[in-house]
Amino acid sequence: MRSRRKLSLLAATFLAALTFALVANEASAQEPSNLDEQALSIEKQLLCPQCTNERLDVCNIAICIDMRLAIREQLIDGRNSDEIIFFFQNRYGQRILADIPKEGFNLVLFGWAGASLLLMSAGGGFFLFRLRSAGRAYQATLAATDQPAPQADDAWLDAELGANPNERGR
Amino acid sequence: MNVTATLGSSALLTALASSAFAIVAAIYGHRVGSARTLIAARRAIFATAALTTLAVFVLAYALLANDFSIAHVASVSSSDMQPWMKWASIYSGQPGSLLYWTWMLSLFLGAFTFTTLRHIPWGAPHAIATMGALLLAFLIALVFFASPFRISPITPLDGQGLNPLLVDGGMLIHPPALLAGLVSTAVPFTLGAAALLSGRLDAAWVRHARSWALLSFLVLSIGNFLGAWWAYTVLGWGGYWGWDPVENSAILPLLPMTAFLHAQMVQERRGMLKGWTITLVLASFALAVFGTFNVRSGLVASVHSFAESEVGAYFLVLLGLVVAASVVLLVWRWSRLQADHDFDSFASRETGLILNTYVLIALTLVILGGTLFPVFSELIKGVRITVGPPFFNDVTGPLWITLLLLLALGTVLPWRRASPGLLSRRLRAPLIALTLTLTTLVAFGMRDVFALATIGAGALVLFVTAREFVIGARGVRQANGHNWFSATTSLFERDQQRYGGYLVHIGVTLIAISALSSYAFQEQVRAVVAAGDTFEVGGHTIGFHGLLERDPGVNGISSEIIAQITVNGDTVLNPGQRFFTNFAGQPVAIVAIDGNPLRDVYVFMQGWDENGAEIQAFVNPLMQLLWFGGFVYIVGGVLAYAPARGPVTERRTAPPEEAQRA
Repeated sequence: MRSRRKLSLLAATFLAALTFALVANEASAQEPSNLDEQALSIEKQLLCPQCTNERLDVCNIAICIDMRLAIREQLIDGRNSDEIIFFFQNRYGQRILADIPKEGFNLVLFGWAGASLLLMSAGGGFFLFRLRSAGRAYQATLAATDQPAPQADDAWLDAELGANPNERGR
Repeated sequence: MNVTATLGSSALLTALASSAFAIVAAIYGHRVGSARTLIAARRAIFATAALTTLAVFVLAYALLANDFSIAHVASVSSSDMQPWMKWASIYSGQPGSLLYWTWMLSLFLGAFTFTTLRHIPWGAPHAIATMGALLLAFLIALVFFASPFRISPITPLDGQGLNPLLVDGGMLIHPPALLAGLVSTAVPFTLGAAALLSGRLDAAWVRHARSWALLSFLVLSIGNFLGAWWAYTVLGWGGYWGWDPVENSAILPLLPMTAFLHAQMVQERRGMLKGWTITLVLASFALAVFGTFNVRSGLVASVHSFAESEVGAYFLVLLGLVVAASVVLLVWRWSRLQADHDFDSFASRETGLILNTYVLIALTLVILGGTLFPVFSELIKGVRITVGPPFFNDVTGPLWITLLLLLALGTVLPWRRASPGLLSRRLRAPLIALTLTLTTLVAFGMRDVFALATIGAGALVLFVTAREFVIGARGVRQANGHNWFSATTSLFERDQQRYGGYLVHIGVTLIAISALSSYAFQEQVRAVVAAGDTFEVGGHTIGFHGLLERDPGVNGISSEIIAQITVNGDTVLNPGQRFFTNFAGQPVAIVAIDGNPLRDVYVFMQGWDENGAEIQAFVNPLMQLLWFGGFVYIVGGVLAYAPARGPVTERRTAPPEEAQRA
């Protein structure tokens, strides 16, 4: 019975993964091929110079419409995407780049992100190790006084299943 | 004299005096031990709530009566607005949103005073003084810096109307829910501050804070979901979360509040994390104040607009005071916040929960840094550098995946310790499920590592959570002979907190899978089309059949240009653009969506002329899973909110020193 239920859960997992794979495959992204797709690809890497965090490809204010036209003209003139993005960066500054460059003063931001991750990883690890070492001493004291172990939060379930929580394989 | 404005201003001024009285009376009553003075202080909190409510009603009346002599009314409403849309005018603009903030604050604190204060006699005076101080701080801003009842020197014939982006049904519930969520963090903060001030730092404050924190978590989450829904259906950019500074401000307090809800379980059961839990509620409120400061001060737009804003400087001082007071209180009481050190093993649920809180705080710090970096770059380098979605996606993506893995781990591991045999038995099936999932995805051509990791972690969470429900329901069936459905629902009666939490985990996982799909597998096409033309997006044929113009004539809308679109020849969609009389340069997109459980076809019109229109179409896979996941998440949260009925698990207590010596 139990293994049949496990098999059912595994089969459900397989079906869910299969569905996701089919949906994702249907929607798999392709490399830009024509002018429209190339222009759209560049626009998605740029932000509106006058708004807050609004992508160029979906912005409707006048300056963004002009920038979109300029991108198409430059593509027709034979410029590649790096050259076009560089052109707009020179004109408006780094603030129009959707992807913040990992250089110069921006490294402060990446340093902050790295330091945050490091601090939380090291802090979490240190805290757990400290708890563990202090916990050992504490448990030794408890054992010396023969205090009973507390009920587990799912003791009601173990009681109804007639199982020992430490033996109940799930 | 304008009677309406005078009444509103008087109500606010009296509320300010009432909140100041609450502080003084609470401190004095506590010092001299006068119960009558403490009762008066308690009533002053109710009086403040009543008076701010009166101020809101007065403003609502002024809006409905089109009293444009009041500057706020003239700036956010107009005579052609439908009456129900004027609800949105109450909280739009700086004075209105501050009034709404303060009103909600007074209601939450009033409800807390009414329901909880009598259960915490050890900290009631401290809580009343803290509440009085919070109310006073916001009422000062309202009365002296941003009064919604200020009279305009010239009374215009008509008002300017609501900001075009707010003229939407979603705006009637999204901002109020979000603002209420931000404000609600004040209650756990008050409990934490009362515990620190009184020195009563055992589990008592945590027990009361839990239900208020869960309420705050729910309201904040609902506000964020509604915000995502509004962004998706109104803003017209094909997505729902753009890591905008305003969005970031809304999610920041939610992260430490979520961490608190997990950490408090460890404190209640094991006596650990005393300092951490109290730090998390203090941080959550500080971030809610930061969010208000960030949005209301003009800091989002630029440092220069912040410098011109009086209320901005005031909020900066207020934020500094909240942070400084929190740090001072924590340092003062730190010696009483030491853990009981009842930690058995790394292979325990405690480890999963503790690491979970650290990941949530890492997310908070990263998002906070990304939100503030444009301000720092402008201050230090003189150039405002934008931090766009790619940074947030790249840095937070692995953290969200780690969080999913910890959700699975925390569900699998038992409290206290898992023996190697138990660990092996509990991990075997989930690891098989993970392998099966990844193999299937790779076999069908998926190579994106980020996508594989997200789906793999999501599959783990769904598998282990479903297994918990199956095991629980099996136990009930064996004991009572129920059918599977009633056995499963009865699990919520037995342990609502636990199984409600599991539902929240399922909701989070569904949201993560949908977010990944709509991010990594979105398709986008823009086409310039004439009537009768078609184009393809993601295997769907979009047909354009011409334009219509219509004139709704309400809410300041001057006209709407509507495109006639079909999807695959049958489904009719009507995207377009909406124009406003008083906001000529700010047309708003009208988004049209053809959705089913597998994908949304999302269409909006970017431009048009006499020859045709410029149409953008997106295919967003599994978008409806996001809203369904949100629904499951909220239902789980509501179920977890109900008080647990089972007996409280007794913790072991440290033996007295004499016993240890013996």
